[in-house]
This record gives sequence, structure tokens and C-alpha cells, in this order.
Amino acid sequence: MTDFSNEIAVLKDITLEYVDAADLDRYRKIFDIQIAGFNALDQLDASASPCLPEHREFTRGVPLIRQAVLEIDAPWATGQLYRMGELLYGLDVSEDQFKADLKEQLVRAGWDLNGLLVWAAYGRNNEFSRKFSDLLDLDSEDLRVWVRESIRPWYWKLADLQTDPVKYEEWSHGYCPICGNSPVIAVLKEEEGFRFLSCNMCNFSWRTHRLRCGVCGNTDEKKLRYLFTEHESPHRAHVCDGCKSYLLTIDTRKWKFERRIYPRIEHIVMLFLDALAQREGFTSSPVEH
Amino acid sequence: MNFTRRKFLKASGATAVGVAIGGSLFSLNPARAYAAKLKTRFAHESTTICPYCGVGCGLIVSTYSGKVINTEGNPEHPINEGALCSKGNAIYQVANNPRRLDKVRYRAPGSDKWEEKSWEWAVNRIAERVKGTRDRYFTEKLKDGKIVNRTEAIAGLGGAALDSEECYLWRKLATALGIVYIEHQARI
Repeated sequence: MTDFSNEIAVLKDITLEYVDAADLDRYRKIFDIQIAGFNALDQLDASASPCLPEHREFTRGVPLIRQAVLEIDAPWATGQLYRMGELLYGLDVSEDQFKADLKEQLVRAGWDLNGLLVWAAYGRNNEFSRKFSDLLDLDSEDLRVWVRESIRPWYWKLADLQTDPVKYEEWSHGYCPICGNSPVIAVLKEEEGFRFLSCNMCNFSWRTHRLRCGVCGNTDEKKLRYLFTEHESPHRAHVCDGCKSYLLTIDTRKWKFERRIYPRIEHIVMLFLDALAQREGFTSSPVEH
Repeated sequence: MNFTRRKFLKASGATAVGVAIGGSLFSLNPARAYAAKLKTRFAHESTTICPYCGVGCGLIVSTYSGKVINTEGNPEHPINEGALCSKGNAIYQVANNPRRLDKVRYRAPGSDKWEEKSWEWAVNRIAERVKGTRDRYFTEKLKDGKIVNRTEAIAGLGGAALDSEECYLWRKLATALGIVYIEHQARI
């Protein structure tokens, strides 16, 4: 089972001149809510707990968790939404009232909770998300952030459940074999420079090709470059001129001393590269599959 | 609905800025200001084969403005899977080494001095020597009258740095000259 204590300690100590202190402080609180939510999953009945399905299409590039089979425990999810809502938006209604209101607005939008949760993790905006956002008077991307951050621990648990690394050896796609989400960063590991992608949603890590765009699958070396800063640094942004996407990468071989990798924290450290890559006209696109 | 826009006031100015971390929870404005001071470059990565020996290990070469800035083993190459021998690891120096000669130097027989020569001079000199040796030791027929059209005074050795097309051309040239001792480093 994942132990977050070291990550919490690292996050607590981090200060960066290019990261807003208020944002960082809020992120720590979000992380606390997520860890509490993660731990609460152990209290659920077996029938309500996260489980990894098996299906034959996996070998054909379909992630284990397909949108159709994602079923998150409703009481747990609404509890997470409430606590995250309190933090992000200063929600000042009771939890019971919140749950009743949420249900009512979902019905008015012609939607259901599972639809909302699936959309937040995978979906493009649709008539339901637009209507629901309007009813809550929220920007749809803000709504997505709220819901995604709330249910993220469910995905952590799913990734925790995988115990067969051999199963994922042949998986070289640009999206996560567990939940199908895009990578948050790439990590070059070991002396050989193996490239691992780290899922932005469930934290699962899988190996993939060095010279291939994770978003569009482009392998034309002439269209693959990396952006780096003048000073010697383990951080860089790999860009694809084919689809104009970028992926932040950390080369652990350039670390001065060995340490554990926390993709979420590494991304915060590399926020300046997000700014640089976007300045050059590249975007952090989700992987289509 | 009891929670309204008024109650959903945002905690900070961070909005959907396209940063995937935790959705979009971090404002990129401070990062943009910081990044504006940084000098950046784009590098290309290309795959190639180590030229040193016949094993043919895969390499990834990073270049910036046509200059090699990094070399490493290719982890996807089936031969070496990212590993390199000591020579392969030092291959960066083939491209970046102030001690490497980049002009023709010639020491005449019996001389104790090196002279700098042009590439044209060197190529012509090699051609003269090859032609001279071939002509001097060329065998058209054996004693029993069998036609062989060969020279046994020259041998050819292909190198691991040659690609397939270059090897093909070298083989054609050697045969045309009548060379029969033709070998390649890849067999060593």
C-alpha cells in the first residue's frame, strides 16, 4: 500500500520562487484531503471498494479501466466532493444539504453522478457538463478540476491493486494502461536511460519508447526535439512538431544524489518548463485513444 | 440549489491554464516571469549505430545547431538495450575532441617531419599507390592458362562505421580492382 509520509514531508518543505506560495499551500491541503480519502477507501465494504477488471482488449491497447466500467462508490465520492468544495470554494452548507443539492442539480441537468465522475476523468465537454456547469455557475474546467481532485484517490487505489508488473511490459502507449489517462511527466531511469511515463491520474508508471511522441505516436526523429535551459539540469520538455504537444521529462541520471521520485512534486518543480514550452507554442494535450 | 457562485469564490487567481498537475491548480504567471529570464535551446535526438566494432550497438545522439552535445546508449535497441562498452561510452569524443586531427598529415619515407597536405593530394596519392601496387602485382593468367585477373598484394577490410550501401560500393570497387582478400570487421 502506498505510503505518503515521505511525499508529505517533501511537499511541506518545498519553496520555489516561481510557484505562488498560496497555490502551494492550497495544494498541500488538497493533498491532505486526498490522502484522507485514500485511507477511507479501506473502510468500504468489499463490494464497494475499487477493483481492477480484466478484459481481453487490454492486449489491443484498451486500458484496464474503461469509461464504461468505472463505478466509484457514490457516498465516498460525494463526501470527497464536499470536502474539496469546502477547500476550493469556501462551501458553507452542511454535507447532507450539499449531497441533496448535488443530486437535485444533476437531475435538472439530466445527468447522474457516475456520468459526472467519468466526464471529469476522461470526457470532453458535452451538453450535460455544460448544463450542469451553468446550473452551478461554474466554469466547466473549474468544475472538472474540483471533481478530478476529489476522486483522484480512487485511481490511486486502482493502481495500487496491480501486482503483476510483467503484464505491463509490452504496453508502450502514451496513455496509462490502468486508467487510460495521460502522463504527467516522463522519467529517464537507470544507466540505460529507460523512459517511464507517470500517469497524471492514478500515478501508475510504465515504460515506453524514448523517441516516440506519447500523444500522437510520431516516431519521425526530425519532428521530435527537446527544450532545455542553458544551465546543466535534469529537467527538459520533449516536444513534438507533429502535434505541437510537450511532455516534461526528468533525467534521473543527472541527479547529484539518489532520491525517490514523486511525479506530482517533480511537476511543480518543473512549472517553469510548462511556461517555456507553452511560450514556444506547444500544449500539454491529453492523449487520444 | 444552495451553493451559488457567491459561495464558490475561488481561493486564488489560478484558473484553467493548461497545466495538468492536479488539473489546473497552479497559476503559471510566476513561472512565466521566472522563465522569461532563462536562455533555452532545442536539441534533436537521432538514433545511430556505434562505429567502433562489429557488435553494432544502438546510440542516441543529441545535437544542437548541428553540434553533438550528448551521446548515450539506445535503450530500445535490441543489441545493447541502452548499455555501452567503455569505448562506446566515450564516443562523444569522436565529435568533440580538440586533439583529433582534422587535416591530412604526411610523413615521407625516411623523413622525421610531418607535413600538412590537402585532402585532394591525399586522395590522389592513395589512388596512385593502389593503382601502382595493383599493376605491379596483377595476375592475369595462371601457369596453366586459366584466367584469374587478380592481385594478391592488396587486401580490403570493411569497417563497422560503413553502412550497407557503402559496404556494397566497397565490395564492387575491390572486385573491380581484382582484390581477392576481402574481409569485414563485423566478422571479427
